[in-house]
Amino acid sequence: MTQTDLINVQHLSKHFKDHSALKDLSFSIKAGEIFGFLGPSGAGKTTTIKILTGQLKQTTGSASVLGVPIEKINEAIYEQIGIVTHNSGLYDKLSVYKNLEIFAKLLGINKSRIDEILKRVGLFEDRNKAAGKLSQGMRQRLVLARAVLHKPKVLFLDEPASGLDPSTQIEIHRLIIELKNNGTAIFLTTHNMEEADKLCDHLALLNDGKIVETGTPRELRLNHNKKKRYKILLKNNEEVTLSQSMETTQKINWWMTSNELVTIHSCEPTLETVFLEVTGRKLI
Amino acid sequence: MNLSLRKINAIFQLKLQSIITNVSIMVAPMLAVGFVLIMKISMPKEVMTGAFLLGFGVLFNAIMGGIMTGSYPLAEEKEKNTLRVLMTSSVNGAEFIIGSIIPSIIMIIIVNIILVPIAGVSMDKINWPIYLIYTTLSGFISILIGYIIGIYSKNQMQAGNLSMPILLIFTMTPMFQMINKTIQNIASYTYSGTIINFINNMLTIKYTVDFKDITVLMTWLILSIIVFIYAYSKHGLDSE
Repeated sequence: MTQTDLINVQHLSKHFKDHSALKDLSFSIKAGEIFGFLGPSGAGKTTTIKILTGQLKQTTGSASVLGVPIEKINEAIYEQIGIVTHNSGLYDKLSVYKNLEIFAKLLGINKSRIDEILKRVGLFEDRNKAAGKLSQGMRQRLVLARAVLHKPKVLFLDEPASGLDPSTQIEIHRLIIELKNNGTAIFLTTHNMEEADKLCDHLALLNDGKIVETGTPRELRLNHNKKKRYKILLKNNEEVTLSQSMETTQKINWWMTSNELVTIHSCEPTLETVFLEVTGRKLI
Repeated sequence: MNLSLRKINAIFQLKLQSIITNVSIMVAPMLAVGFVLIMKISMPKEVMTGAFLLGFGVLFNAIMGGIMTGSYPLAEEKEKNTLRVLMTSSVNGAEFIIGSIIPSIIMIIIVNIILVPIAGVSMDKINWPIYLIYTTLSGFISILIGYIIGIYSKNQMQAGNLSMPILLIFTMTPMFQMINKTIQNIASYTYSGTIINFINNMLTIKYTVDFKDITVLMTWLILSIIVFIYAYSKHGLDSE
């Protein structure tokens, strides 16, 4: 573990009675880094978060969060970490403000921070509204606001934008990037490849509890870009896809010289294609 | 395990609001006061004696209300996934339980006091120290039983289903003890029966502290603490 590793996982495994949920996971996350776990439902993403946050015990291997071995995690560490899951609950009968006030009191945070974070997530105008009357997107923003109320050093996000409309997703992504820029180490699980591509500094592709590939999103895409191809749009609206070859180079050269070429795109695989190639299954 | 007064206070305030706004919990104290008032107004005084009315009210409030304020909020927290959020927000089990029990106990004590004039019992006829100790103790036992139910329930419906037979046993046994000797005998060994007998004796003959009453109450208290600790240590408040 290096000094800046806020999360360190070594050969972590989890077996339930009838199956292995996690198999020999190893990775580390530094301050100001977003580490993504990309995998389909049931791959073991939530189980990993539960183990790393002390809610579930691992079968073998070791891990530490903020330097504390996960076996020794107690309530004290929760003052430095934030957790957002897709089913994080809210007190529906209490107002938006009161929902945050409870946690401000629990964590000994100044109440001025509540208004600050409500403004930041765009819920300040709705602060007196009952949480039960919020839309799904607003609820998720409130859950995120609660998780970052105490400015955690480590943030666990389990499918934070799942099922949300595109504009709320963009808003939540913006917040996540802002937190990362402020030095928070973020562990993000998702089955959304666009989200993973956009947010993550490092990615691990998880399939059946096993990390099958790791790297930056770009590395993953480029490492699997074995058949280099280019999609070209010509002036006459003809669209052609060509493999890399001397002939293609000559053609492109000719189209460019004669001003026939309108657009040209490389056809490296998406993360979904990489996942399909590595595991033989789709990211659903 | 460390206890933080700040966190206990935060849980106390949260629970106070959640009890007040939860109709299925407030129904017990409201029914206790409402039924006693209706029975006192509508039924003949010879039948509805102060002792009967007060006993009835305390049964509803401390026994039924206690079990419900223990089980329902815990089950509700699980059902709505807020308990997990609290437990991963630096609150430990002891802080949660202490902060949750205090508002329930306060509510039970207040209603037990209010029931005295509502039942038409003269305030100076009440042996206040013993009345408060016995009824509060029985409320506490009920809350612990409620917590045990809450630990084994995943949602409020399940808590309701598990609570119902227990509620019936503890509230009906003392109510029907006048029907036959066996029920009377059984009731005298339940904490709810002890409370009813104490109220009857206090208001009809002069009550002196009875060894059997104290033994029964303490046995139920110790038993409920042991079962609660067993359930908590085995399953936690919100086990996987």
